Amino acid sequence: MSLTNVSTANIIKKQYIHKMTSYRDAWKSLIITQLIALAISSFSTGGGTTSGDFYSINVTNYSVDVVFFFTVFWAFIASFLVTTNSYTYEDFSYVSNRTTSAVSAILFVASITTIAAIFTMLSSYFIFMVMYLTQDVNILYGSNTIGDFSEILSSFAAVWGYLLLASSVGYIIGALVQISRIFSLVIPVLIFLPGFMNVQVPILTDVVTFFTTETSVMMFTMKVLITAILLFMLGWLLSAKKEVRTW
Amino acid sequence: MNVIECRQAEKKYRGEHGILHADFTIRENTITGVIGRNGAGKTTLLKMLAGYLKPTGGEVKVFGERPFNSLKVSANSMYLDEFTVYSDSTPIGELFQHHRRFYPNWDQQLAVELLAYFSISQKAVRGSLSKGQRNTLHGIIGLAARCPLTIFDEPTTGMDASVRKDFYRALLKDYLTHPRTILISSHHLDEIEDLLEDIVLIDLGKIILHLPVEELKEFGMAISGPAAAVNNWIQHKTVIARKEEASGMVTVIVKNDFTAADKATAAGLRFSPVSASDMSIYLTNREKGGIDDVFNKRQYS
Repeated sequence: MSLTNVSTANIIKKQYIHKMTSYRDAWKSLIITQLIALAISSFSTGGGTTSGDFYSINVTNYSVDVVFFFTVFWAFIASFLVTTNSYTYEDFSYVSNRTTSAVSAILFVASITTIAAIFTMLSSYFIFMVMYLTQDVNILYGSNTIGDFSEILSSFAAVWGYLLLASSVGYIIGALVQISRIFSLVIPVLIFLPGFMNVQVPILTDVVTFFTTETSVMMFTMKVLITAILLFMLGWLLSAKKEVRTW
Repeated sequence: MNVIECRQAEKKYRGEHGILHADFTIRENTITGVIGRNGAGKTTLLKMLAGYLKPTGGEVKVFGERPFNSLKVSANSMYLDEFTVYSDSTPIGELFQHHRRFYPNWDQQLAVELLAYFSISQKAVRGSLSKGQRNTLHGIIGLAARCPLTIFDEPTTGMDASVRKDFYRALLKDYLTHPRTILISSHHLDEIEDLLEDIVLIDLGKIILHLPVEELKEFGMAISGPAAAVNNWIQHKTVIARKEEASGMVTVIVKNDFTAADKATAAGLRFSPVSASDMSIYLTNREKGGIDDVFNKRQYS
């Protein structure tokens, strides 16, 4: 029987298609997360009433911040799960080496993150639509969501940036945990303990301000992209020596 | 052409032997049985060939390349056992489609027809199958993928007797029309004996024999008779196993390397052939005696 010649790029493409179509849990969990967050968002976040002699104005605020935060959390968990053994082992049940497995997983994570960012942007419109259909009121749109194209683009860049950051952090932590179970204990302690004990860890706060205080969308996107690429590559390197299914 | 070449290949685990000094080659288009007892190292050897495990010493080459992390080996080989990981929530029909994309030789019609024959629905998800059905599915995938090197590790675990027979028959038929290199591991040699051309016998991590099945059938002889006469005759012969029987009779298994003249000197002894399956059991027996000894010792102590 003659041997098949394969190229790395070709196998990455096939694995990417495989992941996009067969990782149902990632898609399902995205939809459920967004629906729950939307349900919570349909309660107002505040408001107020002003009245004069002949009028009264009742303002009710709605925000999709909850959708955004939930989706960030989802991106972290979803990409963490992609690194788990059962997913990598499935790659090797078909055709794979460590490079194609990791690269196709990273492409998959980047893709679902982008789609999640689009969903998150659209969730504002969803709230508008529900209000429009159910309430007989004037709707005042926030300028971040329905503005001109550049405004939409800049808020999309911010949402997408944070989601990508969350997923790259999820990926690297997942890769570390696959190397040794000790990390599943050490990492949560490192992240949460300073908060509990009211200790300021200089590096941690620096990292947070590095991203959150950036005022230029362009710069923020650059920072996020470079950080995410570095984290993804580190995760890939960590998985490069792993054996498949020792059981 | 040799598909597999191992030179002093070795895989050590912490505190366990794994595989030691594996030195063998497998020719293209042969069916080889990898036979050994539980924990002998069959799975370790096969996973090393499939590139799942990295050897800790020596050299393993499949299609001329080191299999660990080789895309060429992965594309041209397939390793299947009962734990092979496929998504449990994917319908089987869809699993077939994925295989079709990855394996250019994939025979969709064969896969669909075999699945129907074994009465498994294409709409069923793998997670809902029983152990035997899951292994049947893996067997079907292994046959339909037509990989130049297909490795079945204990493929019939959990299958009922008739499915087992059907599976091996399907394997043989497909092999005859599409010759390729197949490795099958099992601890029941009698079940696959007729299928195999060569046998690799493993015990305690070492390959103790690698030879055609026909030669294994003639590898040893059972000699029985009165203890004194047998003991006298077997001096300077290679004894493989020994069974004491009642009333001073013994049966001894010796290596079949004696001459006709030798045999002529053995008056009153009975010579009988030893089947390949029995031979492999004798060769891998770790202790003299058997399970009975464990209980006998307890009773009388």
